[in-house]
Amino acid sequence: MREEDTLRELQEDIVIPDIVQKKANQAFAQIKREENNNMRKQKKAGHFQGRRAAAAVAAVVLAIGSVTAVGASMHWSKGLSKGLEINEEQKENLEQKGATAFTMQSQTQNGITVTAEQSITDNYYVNIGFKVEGYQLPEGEQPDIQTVSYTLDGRRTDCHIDNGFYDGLSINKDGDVVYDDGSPIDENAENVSRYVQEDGSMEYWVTLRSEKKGYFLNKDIHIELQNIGTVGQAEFDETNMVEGTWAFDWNLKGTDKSREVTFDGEQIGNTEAKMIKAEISPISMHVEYQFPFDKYDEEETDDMTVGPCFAGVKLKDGTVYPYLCDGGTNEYKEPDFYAFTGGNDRIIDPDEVEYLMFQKKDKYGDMYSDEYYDFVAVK
Amino acid sequence: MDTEMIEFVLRAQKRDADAFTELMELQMQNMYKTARAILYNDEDVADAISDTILDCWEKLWQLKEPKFFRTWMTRILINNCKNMIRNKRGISLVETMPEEPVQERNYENAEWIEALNTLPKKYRLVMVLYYVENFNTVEIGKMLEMSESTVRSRLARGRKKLAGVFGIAK
Repeated sequence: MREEDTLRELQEDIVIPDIVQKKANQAFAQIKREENNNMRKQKKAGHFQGRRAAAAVAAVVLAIGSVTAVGASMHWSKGLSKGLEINEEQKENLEQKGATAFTMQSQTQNGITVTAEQSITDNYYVNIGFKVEGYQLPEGEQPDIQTVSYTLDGRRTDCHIDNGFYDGLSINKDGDVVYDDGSPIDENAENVSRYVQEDGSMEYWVTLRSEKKGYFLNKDIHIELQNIGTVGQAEFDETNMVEGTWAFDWNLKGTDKSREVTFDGEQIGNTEAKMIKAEISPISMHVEYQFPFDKYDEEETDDMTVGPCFAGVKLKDGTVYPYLCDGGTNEYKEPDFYAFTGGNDRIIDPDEVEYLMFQKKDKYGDMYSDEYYDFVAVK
Repeated sequence: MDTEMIEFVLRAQKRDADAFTELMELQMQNMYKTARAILYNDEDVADAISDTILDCWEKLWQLKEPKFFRTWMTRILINNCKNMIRNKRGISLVETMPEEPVQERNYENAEWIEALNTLPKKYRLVMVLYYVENFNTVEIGKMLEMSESTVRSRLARGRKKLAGVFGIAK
């Protein structure tokens, strides 16, 4: 089933199962009875009586470990290298620019060793890589960390944070999704992700974002990862949890260098948006344009009722990255200022960017054709 | 939200049980799809929807703007689904939890469920709320108590994973 077919199928009407309709009808009948009797409804309780026996949850004793420095040799985090698709030349460039800090601190608790490997920092983003060893991931499950908390220079912040375990997937030059060793995925498999590396370890990443330029640079970070387990139906599932708090401290050495492009009011396609500037960094994008503020309806905010949505870039060699950034941050200021800041899902060479891509309004949803984008040349 | 729906909400707020029943019947598709994105079987979905119907009736007077009824109702439904999961975890120790979710013999919706299971687990609910229920990212953020940018990130990652499973169209 293709992606578009999947989404279309989900939008189709379904048959409400008998058991669901029956219980709903019982609720309706109860409401009518109570209303007829002028009685206040009492919420039903005890759905689970008789379905499961009551019991207590066993607690895991937390053994407090200490942070140790791991060897003097620096090596790149596999999760960041593969996740951001960084080649050796790009690694060298990032190191030369001073964009990365190698931390290599390890802590072990309850048999789980977490190593904070490195961070990559620019004007708007921080990407951090961790290695997790010793956790036995149950077959078919998706690993997760229950809580990630951090401070910068000793203070809590409200920066956006995103995180997850590296899933072993990447996209090859033909646009096919493959495993990071180049082997093909089994499209019929229910779960194609590969979280556990050959050596039994897993890679975990954390991304921080701020729309304030230079916010993270050279700040001291204290970060804590709490409790390792698996993803349940909608949230962290404690069934497979190992308790622990793994804490690390280092300085977010990084680079403020990016390709800054100032525009001359170039219009974005047929929209009313006019480009102001763009900052193109290997790990992030910051795009500013003018857009009439009275078009922005706070109650109806979505991608289509504000300015054109930044999508990605086209390189000089014709390569297109229409999904370049994560969800990013949108900033609006009256009367007509709009800015988008997003993290790249792969390292790019800013000098190779030829066009910025913006999603066309009526073509939203189909992401793989040039005709669905407006292209703005980057001179 | 259309005027007929708003009319039902206003009447239901005045304790018109028939209007409330019609209002909630119109939401059954939405409720089922959202609950099914969280819970694995129709029995649990039935309980969650039943609880939501009763909660909405009890608390409808608190809703200040009828046009936000769907958002408000969906938030209650999601919380009921999550409470159900938490309650099950807390009382299931002696018995072993089934390794696989209990799959209903729901042949009529087999294709729909197959499509649902294709969505990446971590992003499933956000994607259903956005693509199926047509909530915007601000509304989803309020329902799930997360920032709009987190919603957008999850949508972006979910789309990417979904595209990854099927390959990029050339």
